[in-house]
Amino acid sequence: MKTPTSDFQSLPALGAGIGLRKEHFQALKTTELPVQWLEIVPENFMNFGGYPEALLDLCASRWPIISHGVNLSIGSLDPLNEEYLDRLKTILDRTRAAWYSDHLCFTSVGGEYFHDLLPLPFTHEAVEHVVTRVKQLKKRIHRPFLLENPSYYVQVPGAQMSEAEFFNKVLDQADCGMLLDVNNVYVNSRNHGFDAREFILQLPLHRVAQIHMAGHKDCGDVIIDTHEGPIIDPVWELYRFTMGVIGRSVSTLIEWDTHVPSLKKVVDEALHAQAIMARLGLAAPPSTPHVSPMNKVLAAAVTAPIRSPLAERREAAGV
Amino acid sequence: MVMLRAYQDELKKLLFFRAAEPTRSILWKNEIPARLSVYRNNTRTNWTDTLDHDFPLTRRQFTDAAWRDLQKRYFIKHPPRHWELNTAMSSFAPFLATQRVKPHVKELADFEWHDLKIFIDRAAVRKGSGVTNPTALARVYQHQIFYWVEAHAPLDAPPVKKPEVLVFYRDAKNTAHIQEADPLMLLMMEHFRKRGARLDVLERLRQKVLPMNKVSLTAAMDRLKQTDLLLI
Repeated sequence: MKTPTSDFQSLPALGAGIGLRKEHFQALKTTELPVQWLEIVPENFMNFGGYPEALLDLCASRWPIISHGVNLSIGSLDPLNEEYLDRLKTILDRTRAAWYSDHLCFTSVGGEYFHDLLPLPFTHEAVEHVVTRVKQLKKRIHRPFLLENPSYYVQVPGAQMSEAEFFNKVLDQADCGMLLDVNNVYVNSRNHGFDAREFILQLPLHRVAQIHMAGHKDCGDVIIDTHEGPIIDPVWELYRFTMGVIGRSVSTLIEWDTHVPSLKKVVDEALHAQAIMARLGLAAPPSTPHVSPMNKVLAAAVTAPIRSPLAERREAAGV
Repeated sequence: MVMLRAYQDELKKLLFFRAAEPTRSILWKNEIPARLSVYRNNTRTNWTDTLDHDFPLTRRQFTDAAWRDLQKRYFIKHPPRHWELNTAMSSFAPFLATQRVKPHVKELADFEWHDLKIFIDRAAVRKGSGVTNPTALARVYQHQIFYWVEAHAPLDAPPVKKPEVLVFYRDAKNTAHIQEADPLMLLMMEHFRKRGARLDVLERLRQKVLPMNKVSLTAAMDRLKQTDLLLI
């Protein structure tokens, strides 16, 4: 008998959001732009108090916040980091996150961190290992967990199944949701020569609870998932195709991390995603459904000037 | 089939900084795929960019080649052991202290690290909490680092060799401060780290360790309260 799966389709559809990036900290404090929701990289806040913490509280008072981690290292053979999990849970609770996601990859070995997303081999051993770890994680975070399909640049030797089979096995056995990165599918299809649409049709689309869209860098012999530049038309086409086959509104997030433009330009990309959903007749939320008025007390806490002698580079470093 | 353990260990060998780059791998029989350089570049650039961000003035004390060499030696010895990259750089100033570098440059790195540390310190700074500001920390330098940093640490005008004690802290409005410390200030900071510390006990302590100091304790406390160094 098949084990019943969690209902990832009933997670709130937040519309099209943007990533919270340091370049937009100032603009977000006062913006009237139709920002639907924000995604944060929790590692950028988990270990910090002071200004970053106050800013996060301010944003959480105004928009729904979803955490998308980069260093859970779910595929690593290192034990799950207890301090990390404690801090993560604190951030998820503090921001009232409806779900949490990270990548199907590993980022650490022997307690040392690559700070990059490294691909796992598509093997039964890797499936079993990740499934065990996801089950451990779910007991700690008390909310739905999604795994993202990462971009990858080399074929790991010894594969026992395809990437799509690998994803299906992990998600089914761990009963977790999927964060489908449409740009990553496009990048991987170009780098490894497969049909992106066929790949998407092989994925467990009933588990997709969030979508990532981003730009990339075409270096000729390889395309790199740099999250830079506007999203190109073929990736928007793939998004339209994906939303069409999923057939319901899915929270979509614009990632823009390199050469970050104005807040307006990123929000425009989000609105484009929103318009595609609307044109497909997929239920979209009203334009500003979750936005609360600016919390004046919290705003005061983050509008204080930073007068350290090195304040400028603090801003530049985003911390 | 490659086992997960061997695979992950091998990628670490191939991607982390090494004195000599590996030319062969157990993973790929013929040759290491060229595209592995995407991961190698990402990994190493993420580390070195963070070091540059966290120690911008220290970095300016070196030529590009000397800084690259220093970065490489540092990351060979101290690959990031923390999931947050800025935090992983906590070992840089102690590492630099072991290198053949001018003493004031070692102190500059320590200054830059502590300036960052108090800005992001997880401790909550709340007025009226009844204790010394939990982010406050004192550092002793043998050079006049503070004003040199304010002048952007010019190479042609190194700091004067004259000891200074600096207190780094973040106030209740999240503004970072650095102040020159005097002995009474340090004594008061230590005394009020414990909740419920009394002024009369501080007075007796002062008479013992700073017998020549006759400044009004109440006035001194008021000053430290105004600046959020004391949250009483």
